[in-house]
Amino acid sequence: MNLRRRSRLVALVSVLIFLVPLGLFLFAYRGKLQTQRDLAVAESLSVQTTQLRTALFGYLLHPQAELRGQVEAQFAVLTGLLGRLGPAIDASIRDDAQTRYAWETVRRLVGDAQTLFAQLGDAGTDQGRTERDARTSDLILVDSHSLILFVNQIRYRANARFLRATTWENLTLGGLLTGIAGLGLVLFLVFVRVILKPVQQLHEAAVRVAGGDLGLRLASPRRDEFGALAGAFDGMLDRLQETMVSRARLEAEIAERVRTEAALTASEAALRNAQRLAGLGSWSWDLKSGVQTWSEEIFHLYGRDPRLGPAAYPQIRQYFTPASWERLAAAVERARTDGLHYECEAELVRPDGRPGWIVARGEATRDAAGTIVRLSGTVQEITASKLAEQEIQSLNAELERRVEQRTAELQAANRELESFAYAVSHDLRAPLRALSGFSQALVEDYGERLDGEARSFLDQIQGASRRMGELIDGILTLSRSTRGELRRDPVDLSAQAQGLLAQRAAAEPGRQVAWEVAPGLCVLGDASMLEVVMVNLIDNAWKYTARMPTATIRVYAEERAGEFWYVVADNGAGFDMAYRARLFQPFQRLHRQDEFPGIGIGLATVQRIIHRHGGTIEAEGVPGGGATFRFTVPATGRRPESLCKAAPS
Amino acid sequence: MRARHSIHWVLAVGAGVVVVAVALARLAWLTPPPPEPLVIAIADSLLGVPLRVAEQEGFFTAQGLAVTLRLYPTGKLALDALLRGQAEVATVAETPVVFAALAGEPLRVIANYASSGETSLVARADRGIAELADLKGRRVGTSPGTTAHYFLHVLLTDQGLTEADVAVVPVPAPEQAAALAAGRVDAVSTFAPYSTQCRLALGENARTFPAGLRYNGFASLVAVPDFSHRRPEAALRLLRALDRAILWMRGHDPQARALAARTLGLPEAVIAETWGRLRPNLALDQGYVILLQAQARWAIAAGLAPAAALPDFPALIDPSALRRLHPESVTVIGTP
Repeated sequence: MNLRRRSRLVALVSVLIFLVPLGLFLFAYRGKLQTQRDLAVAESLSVQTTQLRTALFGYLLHPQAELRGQVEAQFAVLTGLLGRLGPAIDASIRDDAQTRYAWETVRRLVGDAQTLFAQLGDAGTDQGRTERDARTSDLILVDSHSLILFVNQIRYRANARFLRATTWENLTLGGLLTGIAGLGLVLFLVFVRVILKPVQQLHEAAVRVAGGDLGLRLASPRRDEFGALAGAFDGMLDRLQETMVSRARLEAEIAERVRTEAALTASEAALRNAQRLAGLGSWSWDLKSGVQTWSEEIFHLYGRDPRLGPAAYPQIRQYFTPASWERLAAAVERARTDGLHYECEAELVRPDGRPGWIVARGEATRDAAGTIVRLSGTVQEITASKLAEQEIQSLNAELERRVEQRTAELQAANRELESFAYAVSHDLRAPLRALSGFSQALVEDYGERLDGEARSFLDQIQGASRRMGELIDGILTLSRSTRGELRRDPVDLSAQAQGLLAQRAAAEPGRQVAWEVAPGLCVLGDASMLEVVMVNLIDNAWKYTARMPTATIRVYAEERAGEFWYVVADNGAGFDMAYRARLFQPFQRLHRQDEFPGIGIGLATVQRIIHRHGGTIEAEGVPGGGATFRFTVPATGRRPESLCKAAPS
Repeated sequence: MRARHSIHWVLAVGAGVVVVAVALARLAWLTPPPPEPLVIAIADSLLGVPLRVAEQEGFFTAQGLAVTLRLYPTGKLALDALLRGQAEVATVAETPVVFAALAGEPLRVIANYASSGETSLVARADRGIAELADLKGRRVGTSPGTTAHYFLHVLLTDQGLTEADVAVVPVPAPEQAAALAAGRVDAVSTFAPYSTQCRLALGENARTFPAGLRYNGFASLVAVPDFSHRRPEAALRLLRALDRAILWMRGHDPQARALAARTLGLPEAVIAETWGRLRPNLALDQGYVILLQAQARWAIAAGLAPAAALPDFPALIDPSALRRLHPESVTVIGTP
């Protein structure tokens, strides 16, 4: 329903609504007018009744003819009044049974009173008549009282009806006014709902749209003018939104492009930076157009002003030493003709004279037909590494020179030391022999004359001489072990051990020694030196098992991590591992001389020989639980067993 | 928005007020007062009809009264019952009230509710009574102390006679028809329905002289003296129920007559003869006092009562209950 029809309907309904209380009010007003008339009638009746009573009482007090005439005249007035008012009263008191009864009674009472008054005789002398008149007077009085009562009732009820009607009139008037006010309120609410609210909604929507909310739609379900307006508004927003969407898309694309360009710029800057940090330049050369493209770093590497642009190919030679350019130009030429990839170091000749080396790499690009159309590549600076390399070479040369010098010095010192040791040993032997020989001669020649103490002293001199001789032998052996050329011949250690043990057993047949020598323990080494090793190890084993009731000596090999260890183990006195380091020190002993005699030079000699062979020696022992010595003689690439075939038996 | 909120608020308050009012009203309705018991002595004659109507049509019950009606042949006997304490209220015509007042009995008239009805004299024609003047020297029966007794006086006075001119024979009302028929009396001054009984008993021989305008009595509700003060609500309810009954009688004349005939055990034709004189109407007017005084004067003069002075009749009238119900219907002039 559109607004025009709706406003007409509202007006119609308002009029109808207004008419109801108005009708009620008019009805009540009419009722009030009626009761007002009734009240006037009742008042009139009351006045006339009072007049009648006044006249009656006057006559009853003074029964005179003229007063009687007044009474009769008043009766006539009252009767006339009642007759005249009859129809009007009947109409107004139709619904009030009590008032109707009162009116009827009043009529009857007036009639009765009139009749009784007529019976009231004129004043006479007869006693009976007088008493009858007195009785009649009483009756008239009683009647008149009744009359007053019913007239009262009529007035009372007329008053009550009037008050009721007035109240109704006021109520309906109040209702009418309330109705008008209510109607006004309803009209206001209708106005608010039908016009103000949609206008406000439209306004709010317009404000929101102005604020950018283009997705807003009124979607009004109304079918009136406002509905149409809202529909038009929504349509306008549709158009507007379409326009804004395409604009937004365009803006998004522009923003995307700006972002991409920024990223590209950043990427290029990063690349430039990376190239600068890495000293790496890139280039390309379009062979058809001859146009070259250099990255910024190439200009920097060649020391060329970037504003000049890339140099023409033939001019590039000026940046290289002739030898380097020769190599580089040849490589480039091969790439141009054969499409070969190249990598070539070259030395730069820069305008500012800074030294520089580069690695130039290049490759060819072919078109669909296979024709080489472009070369591209990189130029990386390697000046720093090149300089470092030259520095290392120079240092190495210096080092080698110094090593040679030191070696020569050392060899000279060794030679001097060996000569000294040999001379000492050799030269000490002559006085030692004299000492020993003369003490021996003293015992032999003057032994009988010498007392016990003197002989003891001589024995000690002899013992000390002998021991000194042994010491000198040891020192000689030790010095020899590091002296002379080291030969590398196959040596059969098993045979040596077997022979040495057999000799010991033959020399000391009283000892119970069980020995076990694994066969085929062969190495490449100096046979005489290795024999010294085996002699010392076997001798030690033989010596330190002397106190064992059943001595056991084992010679065998172990393979650990691909290396062969040769082992000489016994179950003799052993040693404390805490003193292991002292074992291989010259002249250091772990046992007292009276327990196990020795000079403490054997194991030092063994270690030196093994070390000269490039091997390693280890010792393992437990006090009272035996000792085990393991050594290696570095492998020669062949299994030890195979060496034994070549070893001299 | 604000207007809508205030409207909602007003509607809510209005609804709340209505709910509270309905709740209070229901509370009041749910606890009706227990019916008040009331014993009323009534004359089993037309005099008692308005009360029979109130009883039969449920007006007493509707007013919350549990009324017990006790029937007596005449109003005088009903008043005697009240004076004996057998009832709190009685229906009675003015003459027994006058005698009771003269005897100094404690009573209060709380309302008049009708005319005292038709009073008449029924005479035997065969005793030569064709007119009232023929009564002279005849034996006239009546129930002493009733309206009929005073009516006889009125009739005689109107004829210029006195009680001395006739032989007044006291005959209780229920026995009057038989006495008349048997010829023990020549005439009977009585009231409905006994007048009808007498007339029927004589048949053609009967001569009836109705009171007409010459006598008009009052049917009253008489109560024990403190009734209206001790039980003001009961008095008001009694009058209201009686008022409703009277209105009903005015609006339902045929039904009222039928009810009267049924309760009195008389043919409707008999009721119809005197029905028009009942004139039920609740009032207390000064005419009643005048009548009481006139009758008292007669009783004293006739030596029927020991007192020598008129009783203070206005003091015997208690209009308080009727004034509450119908103030416009009270016109008695009180004692100063």
